[in-house]
Amino acid sequence: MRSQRKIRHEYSVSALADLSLDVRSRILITLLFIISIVTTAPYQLLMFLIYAGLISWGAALARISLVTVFGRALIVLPFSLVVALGVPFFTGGETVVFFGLELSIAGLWTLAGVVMKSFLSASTLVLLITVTPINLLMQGLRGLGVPVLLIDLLNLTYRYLFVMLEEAMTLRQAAIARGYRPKWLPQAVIVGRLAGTLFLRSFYRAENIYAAMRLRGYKQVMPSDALPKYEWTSIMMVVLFVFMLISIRLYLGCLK
Amino acid sequence: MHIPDGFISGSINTASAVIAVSAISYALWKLKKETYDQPHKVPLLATTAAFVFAAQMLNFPIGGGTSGHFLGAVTAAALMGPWAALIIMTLVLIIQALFFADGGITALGTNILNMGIVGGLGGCMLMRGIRAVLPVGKLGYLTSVALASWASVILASALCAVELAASQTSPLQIALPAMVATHAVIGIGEALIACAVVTAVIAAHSVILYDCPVTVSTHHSHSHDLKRTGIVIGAGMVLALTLAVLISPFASSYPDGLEKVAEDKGFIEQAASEEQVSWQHSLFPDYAVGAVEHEGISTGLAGFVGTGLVFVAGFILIKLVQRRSSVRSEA
Repeated sequence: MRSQRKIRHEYSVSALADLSLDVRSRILITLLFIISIVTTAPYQLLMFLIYAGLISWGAALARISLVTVFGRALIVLPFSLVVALGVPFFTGGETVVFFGLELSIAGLWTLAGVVMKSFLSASTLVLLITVTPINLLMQGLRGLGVPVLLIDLLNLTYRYLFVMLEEAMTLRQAAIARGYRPKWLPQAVIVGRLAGTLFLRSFYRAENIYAAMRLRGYKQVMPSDALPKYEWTSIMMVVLFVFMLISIRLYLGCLK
Repeated sequence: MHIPDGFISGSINTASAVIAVSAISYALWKLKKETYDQPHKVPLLATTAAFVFAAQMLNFPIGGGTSGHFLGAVTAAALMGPWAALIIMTLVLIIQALFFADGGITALGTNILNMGIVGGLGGCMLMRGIRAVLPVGKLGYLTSVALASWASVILASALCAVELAASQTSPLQIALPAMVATHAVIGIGEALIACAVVTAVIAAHSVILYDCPVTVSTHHSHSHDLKRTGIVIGAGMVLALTLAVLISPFASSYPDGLEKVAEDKGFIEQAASEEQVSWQHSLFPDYAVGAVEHEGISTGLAGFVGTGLVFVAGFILIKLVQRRSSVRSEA
């Protein structure tokens, strides 16, 4: 049993087989990369291509298909479009006529920038999450100074998230089976009753969880593996990555 | 309302991240003390966060074929208290951003500010403020939950629109009315769900509510209550005035429903010519203080004074009602 667990653990850690980069460096690099994406001006299209290239390179190193990385990131597009689609119609300045619609050029650039930035940032995050198991990610965040209580709560929430989601879907399924076909707003009360039941179930579950935690010797803090020492080579990887990003942006004149 | 990466400018994200981190640190410090005495609250916080997450997946219709979803900030505050609500919303937002690409990493601070601090802490403050002036009991409690839920959704969406406009992502004249109008409707659903959840909890065990109306009515200490009411009214007043001053200059350039209709139908000129005298001599013609030159500042000032007047009027009204009800209860 113990050996089985260890093998699985090692397997998941070495998902980024060729690099096996320290999780703290992974988090820092992801964060800095996203900050770089967000601070790039919309009309610097070459820079956005380079970002997409770097993400693809990371996915190739981790042996993950690009469809997974970019496909999962598509989820951000509906929000981006809903919020920003109106912008080209209402921003002033020079306009361009497109299929009989008068669109502001500045507004179109804002729209394009927002869509590219949110999509690439989400892809970067998907890459990190796909190659890093959750427990390792939480250890890394803890190593970077996130308070232990918050980490424990995050771990517990993530653990029971899918349980509660399944309960919620079961409740909704049952309501539909009883003929719930919502059409107008006051029917939100029915959703509210489902949610009330859901909360009571989560409350009773918390009591059981606490009993189980206490039986296993819970004392204020959840037990967790100690992180390995933060090697200077891993820190150097972050420095090198930042150096690379800055030099590319300087070379292309993309650093404001 | 979950803002992705790339929508908000760096300075706004940094500022809101600083606010979010300090508020979360304080909340964690408070919860650490609380969970030291009551360690069973640790899994309860986590399952409540999981509950809020799951409940956000239950869509409700808002008409026109579209649907809204639950936010849960005020519900969490009613169930677990304000600081726990902030942490619960933070947990939900972090997990949504990290694992579901719902809301950006660089915009996390801004999202926590909108939904956790303004939605959760601000919503809880509103809930207590409203409850302080309503009769003690289940009905008053539910009313406060409903009103605060509705207002919290609107406040969070208005702040979201202001942030988007300040980042020059979408113009305020469009973003603010659109966001507030949509969320004024979604807020009704939020209020209905919040009330249903709280009712279910009261029916099962009212003890698990953070401050349940049953204990409030049995241990009624008048002086303590008065002091608390004072604090809450002061805080509510500050919040309302801030909103009036900060938001009214932006909002006022957009005609309100009646003015819009009046303009379209052409009866605004007619009304103006007939009532010119009284119109000019009203206290705030078109909500601006005439003596001040700058339009934005003038409108803000009018908002400030107007809110103050409404507050005073409301206060007098409530005092009258309270006196009458206390006379009745003595008799």
